[in-house]
Amino acid sequence: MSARNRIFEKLRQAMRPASAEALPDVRDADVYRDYPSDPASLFELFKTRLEELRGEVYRVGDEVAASDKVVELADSVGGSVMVQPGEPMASLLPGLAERLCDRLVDAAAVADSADFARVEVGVTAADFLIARTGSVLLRTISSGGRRLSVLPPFHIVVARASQMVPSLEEALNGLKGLSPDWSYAALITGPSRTADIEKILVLGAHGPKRLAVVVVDAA
Amino acid sequence: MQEPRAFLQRAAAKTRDEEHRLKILKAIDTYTRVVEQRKHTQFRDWRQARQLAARIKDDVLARLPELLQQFEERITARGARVFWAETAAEARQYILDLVARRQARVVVKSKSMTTEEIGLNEALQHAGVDVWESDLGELIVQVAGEKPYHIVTPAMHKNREDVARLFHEKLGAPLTQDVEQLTMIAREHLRHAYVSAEIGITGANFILAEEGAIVMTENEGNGRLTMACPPVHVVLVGLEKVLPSMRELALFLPLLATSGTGQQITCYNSIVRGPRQPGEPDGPEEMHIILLDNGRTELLAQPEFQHVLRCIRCGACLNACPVYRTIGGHTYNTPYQGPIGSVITPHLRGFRQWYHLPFASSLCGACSDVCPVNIDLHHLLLWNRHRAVEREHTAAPGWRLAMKLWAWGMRRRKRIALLRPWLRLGTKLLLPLLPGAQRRRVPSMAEHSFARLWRDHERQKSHF
Amino acid sequence: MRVSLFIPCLVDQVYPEIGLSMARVLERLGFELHYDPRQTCCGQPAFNAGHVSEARSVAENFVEVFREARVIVGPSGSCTAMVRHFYGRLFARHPLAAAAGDLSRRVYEFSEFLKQYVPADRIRGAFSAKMGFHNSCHSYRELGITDEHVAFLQHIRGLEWIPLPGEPVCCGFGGLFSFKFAPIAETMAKTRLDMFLEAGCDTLLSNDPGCIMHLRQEVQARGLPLRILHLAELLDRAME
Ligand code: SF4
Repeated sequence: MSARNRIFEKLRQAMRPASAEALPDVRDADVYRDYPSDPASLFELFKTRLEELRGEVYRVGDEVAASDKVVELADSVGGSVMVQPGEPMASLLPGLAERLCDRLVDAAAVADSADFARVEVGVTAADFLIARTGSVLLRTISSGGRRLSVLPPFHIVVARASQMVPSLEEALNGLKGLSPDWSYAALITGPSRTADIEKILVLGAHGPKRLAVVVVDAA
Repeated sequence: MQEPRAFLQRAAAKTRDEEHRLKILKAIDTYTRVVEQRKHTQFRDWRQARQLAARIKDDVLARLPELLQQFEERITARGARVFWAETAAEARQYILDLVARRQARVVVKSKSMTTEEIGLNEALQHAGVDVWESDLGELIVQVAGEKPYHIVTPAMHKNREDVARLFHEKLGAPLTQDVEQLTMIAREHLRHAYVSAEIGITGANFILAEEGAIVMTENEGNGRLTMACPPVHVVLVGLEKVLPSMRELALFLPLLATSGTGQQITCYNSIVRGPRQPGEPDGPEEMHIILLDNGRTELLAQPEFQHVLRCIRCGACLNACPVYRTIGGHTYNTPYQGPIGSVITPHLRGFRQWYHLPFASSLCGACSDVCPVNIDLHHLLLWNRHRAVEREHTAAPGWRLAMKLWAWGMRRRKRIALLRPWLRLGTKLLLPLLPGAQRRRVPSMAEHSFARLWRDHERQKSHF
Repeated sequence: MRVSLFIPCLVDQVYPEIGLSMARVLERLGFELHYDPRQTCCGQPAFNAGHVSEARSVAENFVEVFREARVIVGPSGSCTAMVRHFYGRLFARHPLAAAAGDLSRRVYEFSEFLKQYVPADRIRGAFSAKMGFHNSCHSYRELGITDEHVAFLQHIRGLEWIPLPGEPVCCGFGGLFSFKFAPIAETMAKTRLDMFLEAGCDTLLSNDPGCIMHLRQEVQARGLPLRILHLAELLDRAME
């Protein structure tokens, strides 16, 4: 008998009937004191939360302004920039390639992680912004893969205001509705951090030292 | 030396180490302040939230075979391989075989207590593999040649001076006491490990049955890099860590973050459903998930202990434990320290060697108070003692005899009265033979028992 | 009301004056007392040391002795918890199961009893102290006794209550634990006592003779300026 079968045998023998009572259907609004009740204030809450964690949040009126913002942010650190190829970035950030010129690294040309590690700024889209926790939820397939949002020291997220949801519950529900052929999703809440030495907070332990979220208002 | 005796020696040495005590109290005080505040600001009712979490986990434990099977089917459909390991040795061997097949020379790991449980680092090093711990705390203890001190904060016992010295001596880094610079030394040091490793090994905090996924929670990003760069990703996870679906993360991620570090939610939570899929720009070619039993099914089979498998390894019970705070994490000599360790270790590794752990507790119950999944830890410690004595016969012959005599005497008032003078004399004579700390703990019996004083009291009253 | 005294072994043999104090206070409050000298011990020391059969054989005597008692009052949180919460397990499938289970509804820890049956304004007196309350872990967690519980001491003049931060912290007694693992228990006592000294207390009040013994041993060994009192002793002196 294989280990798998032996383990299953033990599991089955250990089973006792589950409680007949159905699990209560509990929503985030019932659990969390800080669940946002006013939909109009979601952006403000998102901004407050993420800034508390020393993330940066910018709200821009349209796509052109978003491009401006990303260029300005990239300029503030210098070095090479990699942008998630194709849509939705092409329409979210019109004319970005021309403006960054040779600082722009072609994602297709960088294969191994060693080259990748020299990129200073990674620009990606996201699937959801979560107001209650100040988080960004993204999947590999929508955000340029696993490395782009974690290897470069500066991660810039560009998203539309319509992607904002109140809480984790809505984001996870939304994730279920999206195309399922992804292998990896990350829920990101602030720049990388550690407090392993004397409980003192340090940013940029291994992941990005800076995280900026540019929110584009609906046109 | 036998483990129980060695434990006592380590404990005695640590309790004398005042510097250690102050370091730990300071770290845990900071932790407690933040956590208590977060519970209050984030949850409407913390107690209700943890009861709900306990209910969900109990439900999972009652449906474990079905849910594990669902997980296996779904993640395998996307190209991951699932291996069932009954023992630590089987899990180790699977990884060693994989290392050989991939001809891996460098392995990068993110923090995982389950890999500690199976002694993975030693096995890999023995096979000539370069193993890099990537979590800052883990890196510190690895460089120091130590074991993790705490399941969540492995280097809690090191202050900045200790780390500065270590990094200077072992990594050749410039001497600095700046915590930020120390962190950057670790960052630079490990960048190369992520990109050169052939295999990345992580643990997992949750297994999602419905989505066929594993979830890993962290703050530093080392786990994400470990899952993003190397061509092979190995996950070692205890088979009890199941949640029915992604939906439950909305409760469990904040719960774990709050109890673990006092955060609203940890910085990074990764949901992984397989190796790189068609259409994805990167990600590992292979993903292996090792589902570890190693004694868990035995816990599951005992109705009284089953619910300890709710544990989400948040570390709160360690921080709350006054014994842990006094003797420190290393004294336990186990991958899981503190109350949770003292409950499960005798079951996972045998009562023979580990029966002393549940006894090394005052049964105060601070652990049960803080546990986010409502595990009755201090009662389980007590049931462990019962099992140790009654079923595993671990009590020393001297103690057994003493307890028998005590019970014989205590059954009847007459016998106590008879034994009393002899006991008083006996304690006086034997006291000097005991070591100081124990000598101070022996009570001196009063001249007269209450029973006798009461007689006088009653007599006096009747005289009036 | 007729009250049966539950005198735990530690009080019987080591601190009889705590038992007498409790008796005197109850008498002064007008209760009719009954003490059955056949009682010995509730079995907790053996139960917590893992020796279940020894614990049961001693507890059988306890159940027999208190079978007929209507209200049982004892000066110890942990012994009360033993009878109330652990007899069910100890006597599972035992001929005395019903009798033992029945006791759980009639047994009270001293302060619980006062709070429930005596109006606070009947507890009057004077005692001068900078007082901190050390709630025993078992009385806090198994019986649900909190710091507010001692509010019935509000009419004792001269008591200055010093609040201690956080939840009750264990003093390190834990029965045989404090003997088997003496160095750990000793350091725990030191940590706990430091909290009282830092808060500025000169007196520590407790409701558990186990904690009291352990803390007194430590205070004595280190010559600390702290007086350790049982609630019964305090009331006995204050109400004189
Ligand atoms: S037993 Fe509870 S408190 Fe302890 S680590 Fe597990 S979940 Fe956390």
